[in-house]
Amino acid sequence: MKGPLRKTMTWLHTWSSILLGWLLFAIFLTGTLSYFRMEISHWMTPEAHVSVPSEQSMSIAAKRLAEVAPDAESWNISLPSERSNTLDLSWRNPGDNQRRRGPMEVLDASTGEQINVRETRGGDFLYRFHFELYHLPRGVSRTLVEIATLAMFIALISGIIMHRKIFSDFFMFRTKNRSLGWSDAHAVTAVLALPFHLMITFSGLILLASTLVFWGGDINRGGNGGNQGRTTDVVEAMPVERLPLPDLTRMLDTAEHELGAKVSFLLANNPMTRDAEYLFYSSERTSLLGNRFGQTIALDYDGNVREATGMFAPTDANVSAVSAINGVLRTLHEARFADTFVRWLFFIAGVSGTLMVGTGSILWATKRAKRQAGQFGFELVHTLNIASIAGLCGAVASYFWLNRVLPADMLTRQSWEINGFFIVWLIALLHAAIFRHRNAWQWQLWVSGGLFALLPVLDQFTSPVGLWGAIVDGDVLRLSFDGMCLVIGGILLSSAAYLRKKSQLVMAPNTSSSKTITEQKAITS
Amino acid sequence: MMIALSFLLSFYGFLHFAMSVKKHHMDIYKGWYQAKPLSQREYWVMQAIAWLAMTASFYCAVVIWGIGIGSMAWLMLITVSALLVVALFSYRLQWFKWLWRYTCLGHKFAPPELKSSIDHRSR
Repeated sequence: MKGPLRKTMTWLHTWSSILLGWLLFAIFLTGTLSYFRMEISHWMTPEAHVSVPSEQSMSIAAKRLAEVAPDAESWNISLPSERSNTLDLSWRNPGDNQRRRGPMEVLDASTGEQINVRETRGGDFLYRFHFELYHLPRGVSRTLVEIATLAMFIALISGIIMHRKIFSDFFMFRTKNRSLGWSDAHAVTAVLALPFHLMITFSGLILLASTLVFWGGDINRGGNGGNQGRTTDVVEAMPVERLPLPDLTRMLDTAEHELGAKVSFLLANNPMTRDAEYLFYSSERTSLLGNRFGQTIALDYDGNVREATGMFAPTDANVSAVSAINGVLRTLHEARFADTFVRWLFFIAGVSGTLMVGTGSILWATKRAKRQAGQFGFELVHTLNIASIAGLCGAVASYFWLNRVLPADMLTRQSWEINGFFIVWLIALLHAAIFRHRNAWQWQLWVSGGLFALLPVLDQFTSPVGLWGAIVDGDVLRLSFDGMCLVIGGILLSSAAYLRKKSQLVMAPNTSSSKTITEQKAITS
Repeated sequence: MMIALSFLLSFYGFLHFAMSVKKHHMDIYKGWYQAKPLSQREYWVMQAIAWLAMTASFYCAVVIWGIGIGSMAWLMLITVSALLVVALFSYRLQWFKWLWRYTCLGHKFAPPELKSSIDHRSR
């Protein structure tokens, strides 16, 4: 570890990242996919694909709720928006447990028909996995993720310092000179998306910081208060005077007019009474400040504006600078402000981060392949690299496949989707251990890439609405998901093709060298 | 529309950044004629164009999204456009040359007609 700064940094960079590289890859991959969390959830409930957003959604919702839950303590109406196509209703009956979710319904946003969606965790599984892994005690897994984030941050800083020619090599990607291929891929994906990496790592570090602090409460919860502080505590249900249902559509117009933004969520406290309070939330945001929802406006039972709160208005009374910063970091980390286009930009940056972590781990192994082949440490890293990079991609793809292939009304299908994910991952690990010197890399990349690339085909045949229908309906959520699968599949398949080419070159060194000579001749002549 | 403009401007900026690097400059001109190293003046002209384009692109992003979200979205935008430049440079050098020749200052620094005529004569 002694030596000049650059050497020290190289040492630090190598060892801080290889130890947690596999975990980091999993975090990066699932996190990148989580940008499309809603899209994934939507894709994984094909029954809901028939729903097309419409103008009547609000009146449908109001009618339905007045019918099934006239005495409810509160109503939640989630309107179709940029990130959801269905009309989701839930309500809380008097005397219900405050912490548990009440009854829910998913409706077709234009016809009002109830949709029975299949049981699935959807994108939430990947989202949770991103920072809590699975089936570990929450504290332990979060601390583990936080430590990995810390290692990532150290690796980033040391990586910047050790990079000699950060500007002259800015656009360098030497595919011709094969020995440097991995290293360039690592550097290019790291340097070009550096703002993203710094932002995402730093904000992630701060968001989970409380897991490393063993005193004090859980500060993570602070900036998160959406409606928790709002719900009025009705101790017991008392007979109250019921008013006729107000015209929620007109109120929606008022709210949208006042806010100057589209409303995506309505929380009604004590609906249809004189104490009623109708809170309209908009998810559109024009600044990085504020919490989960952009702006809110409260209307009383008669549709008069009670109070309008702007972006930075705290619903939980006291907002300190700390929790404001926390809120900004969370907004940045989750790209809450993003529309479809910006979301795709973040996704691409996330993919390059994933590639950076993956190529970094591969680089460690290829650098040592000649010297250390056969040693336990090297073989372990080699095996884990295959299983945690190619294998995990295959596992994620099979999670999506299982969602569509398992029968929709199967019991415990939700847990079988997740079990399938881990079983495939385990198979990948075994396969990697056994065939690590016999093209395990290539095989797993072909299979995972193929699974991803074929997902749109599967989508076409297992959804009640075909892909053409999705284009006609403008179902951006679903098309985003299919596009995302094609991108990931393309990357996996092309890296598999790259490996095949490389192994063929090793097999026949003579032809390759003669080819490069002719190439050089062609250039010089 | 503004987004596309912002993206194209940053792409244009990165083209010039790439060309202001000696190594890449040589790579591009290698096939055209006897490569001439990048002169100091050319370097500064390209840098100036690149920075101007980047500033304009940032301005567009701020106009669309506002300063807070805009700066973040812009950083992602230039990430993608830089990746595109790298991809062009590594896999489609011909397209890069074409772009350089016909949309940027390629003419000014190395008029293609002249170069090709030299090429023909030497052959």
